[in-house]
Amino acid sequence: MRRATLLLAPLLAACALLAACGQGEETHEFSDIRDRTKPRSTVPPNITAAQRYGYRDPRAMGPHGGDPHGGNPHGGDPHAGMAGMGHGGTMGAGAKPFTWKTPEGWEEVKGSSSRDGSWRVKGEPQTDISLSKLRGTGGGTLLNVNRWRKQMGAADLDQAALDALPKLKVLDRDAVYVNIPGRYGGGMGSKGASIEDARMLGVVLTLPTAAIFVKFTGPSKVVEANQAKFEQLVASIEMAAHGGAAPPAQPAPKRGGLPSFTWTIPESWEQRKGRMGRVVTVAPKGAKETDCYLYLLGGDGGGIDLNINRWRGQMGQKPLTPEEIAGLERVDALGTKAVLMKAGGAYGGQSGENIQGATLYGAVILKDSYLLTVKMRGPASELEGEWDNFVAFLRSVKEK
Amino acid sequence: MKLPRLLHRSTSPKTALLTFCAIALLAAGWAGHASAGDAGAGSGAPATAPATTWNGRWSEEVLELVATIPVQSQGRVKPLHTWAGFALLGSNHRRSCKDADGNKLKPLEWFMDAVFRPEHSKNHRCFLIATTEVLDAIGLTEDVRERRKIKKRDRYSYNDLFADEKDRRKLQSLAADFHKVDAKKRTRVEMGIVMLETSVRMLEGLNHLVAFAGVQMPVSEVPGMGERFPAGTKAGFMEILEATPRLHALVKSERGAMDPHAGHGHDHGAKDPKLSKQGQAADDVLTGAFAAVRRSLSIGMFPPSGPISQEKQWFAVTDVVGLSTLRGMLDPGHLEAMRVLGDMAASVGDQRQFTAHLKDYHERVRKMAEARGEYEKIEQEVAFYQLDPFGKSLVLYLIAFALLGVTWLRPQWRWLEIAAWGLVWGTLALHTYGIVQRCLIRDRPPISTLYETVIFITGTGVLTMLLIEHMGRHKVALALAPIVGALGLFIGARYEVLKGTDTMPQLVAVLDTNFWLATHVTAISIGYCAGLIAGLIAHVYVLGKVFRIKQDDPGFYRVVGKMVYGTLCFALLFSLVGTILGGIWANDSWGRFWGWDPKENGALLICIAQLAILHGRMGGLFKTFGVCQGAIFGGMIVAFSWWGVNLLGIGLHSYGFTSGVMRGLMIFYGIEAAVMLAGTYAWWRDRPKKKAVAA
Amino acid sequence: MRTFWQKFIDFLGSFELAFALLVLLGLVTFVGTMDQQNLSLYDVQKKYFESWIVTSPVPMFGGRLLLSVFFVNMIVGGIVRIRKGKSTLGILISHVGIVALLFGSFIEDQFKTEGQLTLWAPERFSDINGNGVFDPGERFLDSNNNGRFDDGESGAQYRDPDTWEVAVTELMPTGAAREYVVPQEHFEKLEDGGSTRYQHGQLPFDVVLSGYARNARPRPVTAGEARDGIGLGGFVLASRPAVRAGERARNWPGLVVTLQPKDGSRAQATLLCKSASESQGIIPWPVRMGERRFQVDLRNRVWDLPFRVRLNRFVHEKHPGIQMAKEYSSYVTKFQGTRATDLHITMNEPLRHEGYTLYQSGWGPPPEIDPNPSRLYSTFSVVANPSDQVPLWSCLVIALGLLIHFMRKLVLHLKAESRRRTPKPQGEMA
Repeated sequence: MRRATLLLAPLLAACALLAACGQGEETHEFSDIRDRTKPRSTVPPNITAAQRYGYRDPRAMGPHGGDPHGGNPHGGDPHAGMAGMGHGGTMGAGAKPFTWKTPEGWEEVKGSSSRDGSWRVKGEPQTDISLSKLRGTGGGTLLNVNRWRKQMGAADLDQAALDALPKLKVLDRDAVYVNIPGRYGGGMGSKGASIEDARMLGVVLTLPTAAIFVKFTGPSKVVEANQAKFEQLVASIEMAAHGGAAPPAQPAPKRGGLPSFTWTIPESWEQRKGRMGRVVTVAPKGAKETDCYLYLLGGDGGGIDLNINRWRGQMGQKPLTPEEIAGLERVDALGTKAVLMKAGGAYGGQSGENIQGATLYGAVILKDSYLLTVKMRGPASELEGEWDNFVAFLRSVKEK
Repeated sequence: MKLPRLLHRSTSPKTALLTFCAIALLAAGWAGHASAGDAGAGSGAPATAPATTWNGRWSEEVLELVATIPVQSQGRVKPLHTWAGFALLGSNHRRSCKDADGNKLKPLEWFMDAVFRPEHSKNHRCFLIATTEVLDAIGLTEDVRERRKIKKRDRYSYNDLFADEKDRRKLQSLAADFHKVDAKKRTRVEMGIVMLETSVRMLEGLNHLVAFAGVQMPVSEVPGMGERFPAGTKAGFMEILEATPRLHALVKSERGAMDPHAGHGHDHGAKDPKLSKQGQAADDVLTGAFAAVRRSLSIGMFPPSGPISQEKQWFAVTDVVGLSTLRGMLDPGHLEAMRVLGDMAASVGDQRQFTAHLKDYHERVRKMAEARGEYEKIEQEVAFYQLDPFGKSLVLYLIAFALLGVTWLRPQWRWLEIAAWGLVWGTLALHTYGIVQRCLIRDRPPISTLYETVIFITGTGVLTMLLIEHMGRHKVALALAPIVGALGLFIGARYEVLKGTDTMPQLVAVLDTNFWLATHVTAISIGYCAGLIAGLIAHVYVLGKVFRIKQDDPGFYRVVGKMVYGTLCFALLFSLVGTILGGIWANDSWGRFWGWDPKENGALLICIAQLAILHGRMGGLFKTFGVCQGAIFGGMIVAFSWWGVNLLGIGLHSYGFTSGVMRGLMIFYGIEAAVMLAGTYAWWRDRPKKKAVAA
Repeated sequence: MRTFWQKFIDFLGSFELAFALLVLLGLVTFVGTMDQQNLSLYDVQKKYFESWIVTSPVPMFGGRLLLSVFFVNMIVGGIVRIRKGKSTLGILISHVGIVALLFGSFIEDQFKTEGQLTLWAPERFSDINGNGVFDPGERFLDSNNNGRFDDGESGAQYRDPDTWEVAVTELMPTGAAREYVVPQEHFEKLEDGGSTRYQHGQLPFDVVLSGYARNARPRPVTAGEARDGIGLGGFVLASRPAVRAGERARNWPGLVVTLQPKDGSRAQATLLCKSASESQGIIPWPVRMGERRFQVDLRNRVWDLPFRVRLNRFVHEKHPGIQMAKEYSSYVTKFQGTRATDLHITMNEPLRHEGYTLYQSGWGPPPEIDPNPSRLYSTFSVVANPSDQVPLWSCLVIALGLLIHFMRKLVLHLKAESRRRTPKPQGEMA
């Protein structure tokens, strides 16, 4: 032990010296000075730091994202999106991004959370009309159309056939308009019964950063009789005011405005006294160094990737690429998918805890207005056999 | 087993002479067979002419007419002769196929059968299956194969392969799966499946090309047609097509102007509440008309009536019908051409009438193309392919080589030497004529594709050899000249088969510059050529040393050494200038002179190798023997730069992967490495002896 | 008795060295080419050709070292010490050409700037005359005329998407702006810690840069981290692994900027980094100092062109019926002072003016993003390369030199051949 210290001493001294050199501050005069008739870009003078970083700010408006017309993702000037600074209104947080006029004889119904609008023809339970917006282009128009065709049991189209399809105006842009007869087998995850003599009307609008879908399925006869109404509905769709031009400052979503939670502690676990800031801390009964806790962050809390890689960093593991993270196991929780991760290694936490031979279980749940993490770490021996309890615990978490 | 023994025993010059001639002539005959494959066979089948079907062979007159019908495919207007040739080459790996009775069919005969006698054409053996694993994959089990007499790598007909409809579907779904695999990562079987599907689909497209001619539909409820075709009768396709603009207008007006685009995709065809009964009937007919042509091959057959500056793309049958049913647009010229095409299909049984309709069709399309200035080169191109200058040159080079072989054994026959020498020059003239014809047809400098580099470099190589011969008259270069010519043209023909697509393709924007194609590409190709030739001559030196030929004639080796050295200098000049010109071109199109792109590096490697040889020689690091070994190595580098870097599949110059090229390249490297090793051994073996002599 | 120095000079100019250098250069070129199957072109250039030493897969000398020594070797052996005479004239000339070529590439390496200029075309073609017909040539503008052609976007700056700069912009009350710029070379060495201070007499504060990361995003501080010193505005920079060139994602650098007012008032600091929002880049930091307004930005390097270019029309055409591109062309107007010139930029025909070259390099929006856009944009690569034309001249010189040399050799050879043949008119092949 002593020997090691002796050996290390000069090394440490060298490091310190190097660090000292690195810390030295050089001073320069600005040598490159350019006069312009106008600045290359301007930002609102009252923009806050959080807004500049793309986070929800308690004092002002929400993050800027999701405006399908904003941004310039294809090699343009990263500042080009700046022009949209003032009006990149929020699209999450429960606010509907679109407005529309529901046609007569139709009724709005509550659809799944992934939809932005959901209707059916009054008295026709088998009909289903949906409006949804997808971040990203969903693989492009062709893929989306063929996905629909597959649902109807129709063969795939090629690009030429796609080009030949008629167009319908959505948000003042030409969108592909399909009309597919066939047997409706239901959409992704749909439990609804299939419809034999069915028809699907659909409109796909692919935008630079988003895709908008309007879809009408039901028995052939009903769909045919309602085709004009469908087209009316499509024509009436507009961006909601707060999603388009100048958004009003939104009411401040305070920390207190974030939801509270309930949970069920697994039988072999117990609640512990946890550190400040945690929602709750639990641990397997008898475990000495292990704890498991819920942690709540506002906004997107840095996102899924960042949190997962932060944990991996604590375990001395390399960060995962977005593709690798996309491949991680997911379970249903809080009405969405929780991303799960496991890591082994030497745990080094923020406040100086150190556990050799540790295991870390983590789960990240990203919702519209917050990010909830569930983290459990401790010596590998104490965590053995606890994975199922961990998953059960996180799945038991509900919004109050 | 017999051949080596024969060679071994043939010690007397006379037997050797005979054997040699026999082998050479055999080789020549075989090459001619392989390359001039579309020289037709003439045996006619019994000409019975029933009213609806006809089993005869297409007359020369028909084939002549069809040859010069212009079509637009792969972005280029070309004669049907060229299109059919490459279509069959791609599918069958040769420019011919056999029918069920074993008659050899030319590409155009195959084409005409596929279009006008679809059932007949399904028995033509026009699909080359390179590996039986493809047959396994599409589900042809052993006993099925036994029954259908399908056993090995061979050529098969549509009916051989797909007697069972489910086999066809299996192929289709497999091909769809493998199509998603990155083309570079496909296995041989996957590649075979994808290619077979492409070929099969093309044949099916041809089979359905004029299928519309037989389509009839009830139209009794359609306004304006019902009177002529009351219930119980049916209207033919052309009557319907003629009426489509009117029907489209009717449907459109009933649908209302709410949606100006509301046409009527093939998803439609369903009841539309807005339509009256008559409107619905019209809509149904429009849908039916489009469905009738959906499976026909998408090949541009009808030139647009507008000027070429405004409308570039020709109309396929589907385009004509699609535009008229979806948008109500129908060009009267196209309608008439379609009608004549339909008449042809209906009169297959009566060849005289068929020929008359064909003449009519040819005339119409030719006039439409001529009006746009797109017919000028058609007949020239047909003449070029009918002459087949490169195929013929290949045979002639082989014959010249055989003659030269004879002159070695009979040096006293001066007349024969002169004849052989004249034959090489004459063949080169034919070869050059072919290159010039291609330039004229394409309006391009001689080289703009990989295929053309082969043809051009071969020609330049033969010319260089002949010039070297003129400088020295040592007969070495003269003997090598036809070898270069035959080998190069053989590689060219193989490459054409491997690619299986038109060798006069359109060029991407960056290559569309005749100035740089003429300067950089030509210079670098001459550099390649000279580098390879230096390597080839060096073989004479090295192999001569290895086999101790002409050991008592140091003058011979001095001369050969000088040839190698001189050719290397010549190569360096063109390689260096060509490489720098390439950089200047890159600077003009991408804004950087040098980017260490694989093709650029390949060119640089050639320059470096040649500079190293010349500097090493000047610095006295090695002498003639080293220069020759270096030249052989230089030839390997040229092959790497010319073909190898393209196989890496990276960089701006990558032309796509061809496994056949890879194999050829590996064989070349193997041979060259063996020669160099043998040379090194000979050098080591002979060195002490020289010392002894010196001492 | 030769001194060591003489021997060394002999060695530097020797054939042996030239041969060895060529062999080594060939080796590194070959390995560097093959490795492009694994590495991106950019990485290969850095590893093999712009390096002094390559350590893997086999240790060898890097391209930069070899070419430098080769340059010296050629000057010493091929130009200075070469025997001068009729027989070496051609070689001498071509050596001069190659030396010039290498020197040109050195100049390019040191002084070339390059970047991109993206301009949107108007919906309809517009030219100076407004008649819709492309009519190349120069004309003079009257002052009224100048402002009328603004439907097509115009630009006089180009931007390098791969390098960055910190710009402190003072927003003048007149609407004008003055930028104080720090290039990336200055702050990228801060990656290992430390800080650098920048001053200017006209600025009311010193600018201190620190905490640079090649690829970083902001992250809110968590409870455990909330210590003093980090967490500017509740956020910290979270460093990410740097993205390799050629991958789809890109690196977004981040750093900490501290403004220390000269009047001794409290310093202000912030992070400059990419917004966590997908559609936003790095958003500048607005600062008020008394009456003066500033904006601090971390942005791609920007250079100014001495003229302005406006895009009137962009044409992209495919060969009929296939996806192969036939033509990309931009019809532009170049404005300089009161002169305006209509020009056509297309593949292989760049616009060269005042040492700047504009190449057609891209366009958009791509169909997968917007299948029927109402307007197109055209992207030009802009290169300012003082040695732009050097390769052309060296090429001519090299070709001339080699031609002289080899022609001379050929003539000598032919003379020797004819001499050889005259005394022995027949039977030499027997």
